[in-house]
Amino acid sequence: MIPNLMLPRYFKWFGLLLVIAGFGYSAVYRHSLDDVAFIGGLWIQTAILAGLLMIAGAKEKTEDEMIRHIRLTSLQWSVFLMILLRLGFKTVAFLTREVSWLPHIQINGLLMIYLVLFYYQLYVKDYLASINKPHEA
Amino acid sequence: MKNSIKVERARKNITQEELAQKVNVSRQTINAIETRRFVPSTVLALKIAQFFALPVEHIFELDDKD
Repeated sequence: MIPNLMLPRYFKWFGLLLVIAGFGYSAVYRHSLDDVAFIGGLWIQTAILAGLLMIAGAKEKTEDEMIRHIRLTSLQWSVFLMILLRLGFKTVAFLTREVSWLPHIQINGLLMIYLVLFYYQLYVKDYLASINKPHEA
Repeated sequence: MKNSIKVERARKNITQEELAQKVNVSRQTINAIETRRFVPSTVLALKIAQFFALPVEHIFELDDKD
C-alpha cells in the first residue's frame, strides 16, 4: 500500500490462493483457530493474514495517481468503518450483557473492508460511470 | 473542474484506452477524469494537454464549485 514498497502484480493471485486455502481449511475442519494447543491455527491465521496483505499490497496493471488516491481513501474509510463496527458491537454487548456480541473483527477485518472498498471504487464505480454514459468509448 | 477531454478525443478519434496508454495511466483514470470523479495532478493535466497539443487551460477549466 506504500507506493515504493508494493509487490509485483502476480502476488495478488498468490495471496488469493493463500486466503482461499486458509478459509477453506477452517471451513472444512471447523477447528478453532484461536486454540493455543493447536499449532495449525497459527499457520492458518498467518496464511490468511499474509494472503490478504499480498492482495492489498500487489500492484495494479498501471499503478497511477488515481489508484494511489483510491488506495488512500479506501484505507481511511476502512479504519473509520472498523472503529464504528467495533464500537457498535461493544455497545450492543454492554447493552444486552451478552459476551457473544463482543467484536471479533481484527486486522483481517480491516484488510477485507479495505479490499472491498478499493475494488468497488476501482471497478464498480468505473463500470457504473460507463453504463451511465453509453456512448463513451 | 470541467474538462473537454471527451471532445478532444472525439476530434482525434481515439479511445480512452489509447489516450491512457499515451499518458501512462489506466483507462479507469481517463474515465474518472472525463466523468469528473477525479481531478488530475498538474503533471497529468500537462501531459494530456501536451498530447492534444493544446494549452492546459483549453482542456481544463475551473467551475463554480472550485
